[in-house]
Amino acid sequence: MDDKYKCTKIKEIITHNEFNKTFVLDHSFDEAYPGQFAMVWLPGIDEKPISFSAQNEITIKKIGPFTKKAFELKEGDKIWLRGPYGKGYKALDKPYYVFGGGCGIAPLKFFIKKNKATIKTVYLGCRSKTDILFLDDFIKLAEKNNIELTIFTEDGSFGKKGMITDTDEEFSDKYNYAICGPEMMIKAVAEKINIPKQTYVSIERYMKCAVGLCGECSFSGYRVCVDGPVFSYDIVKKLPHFGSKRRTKTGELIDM
Amino acid sequence: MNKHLTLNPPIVNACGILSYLDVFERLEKTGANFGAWVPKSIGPFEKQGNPNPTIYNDGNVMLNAFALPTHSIQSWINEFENTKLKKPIIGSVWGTKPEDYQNIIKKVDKYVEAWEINVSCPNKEVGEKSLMESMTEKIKDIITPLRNTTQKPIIAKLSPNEDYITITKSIIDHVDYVACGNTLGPGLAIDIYSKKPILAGFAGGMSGDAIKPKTMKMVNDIYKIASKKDVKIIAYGGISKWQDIVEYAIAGASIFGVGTALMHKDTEQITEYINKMWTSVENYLKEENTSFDKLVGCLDG
Repeated sequence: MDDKYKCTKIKEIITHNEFNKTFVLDHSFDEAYPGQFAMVWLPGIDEKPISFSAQNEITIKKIGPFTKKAFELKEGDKIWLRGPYGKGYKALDKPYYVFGGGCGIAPLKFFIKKNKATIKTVYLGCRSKTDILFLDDFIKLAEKNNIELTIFTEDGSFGKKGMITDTDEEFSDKYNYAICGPEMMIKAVAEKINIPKQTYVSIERYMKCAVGLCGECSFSGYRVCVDGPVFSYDIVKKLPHFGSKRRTKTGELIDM
Repeated sequence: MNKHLTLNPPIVNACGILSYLDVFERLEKTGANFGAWVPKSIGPFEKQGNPNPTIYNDGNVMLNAFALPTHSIQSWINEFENTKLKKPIIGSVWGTKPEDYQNIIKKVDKYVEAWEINVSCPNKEVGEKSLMESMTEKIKDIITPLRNTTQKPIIAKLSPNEDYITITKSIIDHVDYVACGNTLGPGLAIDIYSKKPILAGFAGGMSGDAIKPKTMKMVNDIYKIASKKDVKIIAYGGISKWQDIVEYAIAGASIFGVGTALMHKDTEQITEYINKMWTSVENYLKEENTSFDKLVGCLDG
């Protein structure tokens, strides 16, 4: 198996807000499934792991020099990807509850679209209405497929005012749970659900090779690129690095 | 008398692969039976190494140009202090002058069972004047004083790119092992749509199955010198199946490093893979009615 780049063109750019854009690609990565990522390369700039939001779609959050450069790309421009990589969300043996926060919403849109019939409930949590990526898609998906959709915004500009953890729903082991978002949100939501063996969460760490060799993305010894990025919360909750430590570009282990 | 390690099995990770103690611990917990662990090279100053892409795998050969990302000696010591590893650690050290190697070895010596002296990294950072270029002249000066720095076995990791026979002869009385070898090249991979080099570091050391004949020859060439001096050989270079280990043993190696072959494997897959590899070597020894010691260097021709 090789790790050659697929050079493809950007078919369409969806600007969600100041910090989030989705790039629809000419090429579809048909083998990609939700929760997996690609290494996205801008020649002469850098290469970063980005989650798929569909088989022909990646959603990028502007956070540093690489993503800033990506935001300058226009429709018709070339973009280079290798992958798909990693383990995504597990096959469905029970209906799912889905919890998304921040740009973690993007891979979950892919997850829900692929598994419409087996999604029971979707919770989204954002600071404000403009931060809710794919809001229209979620509303349509929920209506068509009889999915319960609950949205929390911290400023109350859409849905319920509050945090995603403010739900008073009781969670049962008749369901599986998928969470994607900032690590602190993952922890808060997973603790609230409290069914770790049926909860799957996506973890992010700085990545170099993305093929399991360099060890840079180690998360308490699990290499996120090949062992993850999606893990069972039953594993994650016991790991000392969870919510606590990450490695920098030099390899140094520091507090998050 | 030279000092040698007893590793069970004599299989290690290649330096720069898996890299960190927490990764090794996870593999040990899962049951991966490596004989020792080689953490990433410890160096004299902190550096990030090259930006991505740091690797390129075209399916035949892998190129890497990490260019020695290095964190502080103190943060390494913190990791060593807290490790629960059961298998021995072979420390790896890089530097640009003899004092670098001596200083690092002195500070970290108590945490490791042997020292692999990296004098052969073919990569450098973008904009870096040089890292280990023209090391040939310096290798003797780096290696020779180390007997006074550490009592632990000393492994010289040499490059297949340089005149390794002359280098080996110049250091053979001061080492316990020669590691053959670091990555080959460096080589260049080009992207046809951007017309740019794929690796951010421009060129990168080559590894994987394709380089095996080159390092096989290196092992055998060096074995002919080393075996007369009680110096053993560690083989790195395209080991991906049990037969490769047997071939390298016949050529003269007694310890075997695996790197590129671990690509795309998760923790459980590495565990299954590595454990099966040594069992298969043992089956071969039984079938051939021979022993590992008899096999080492028995090349007939």
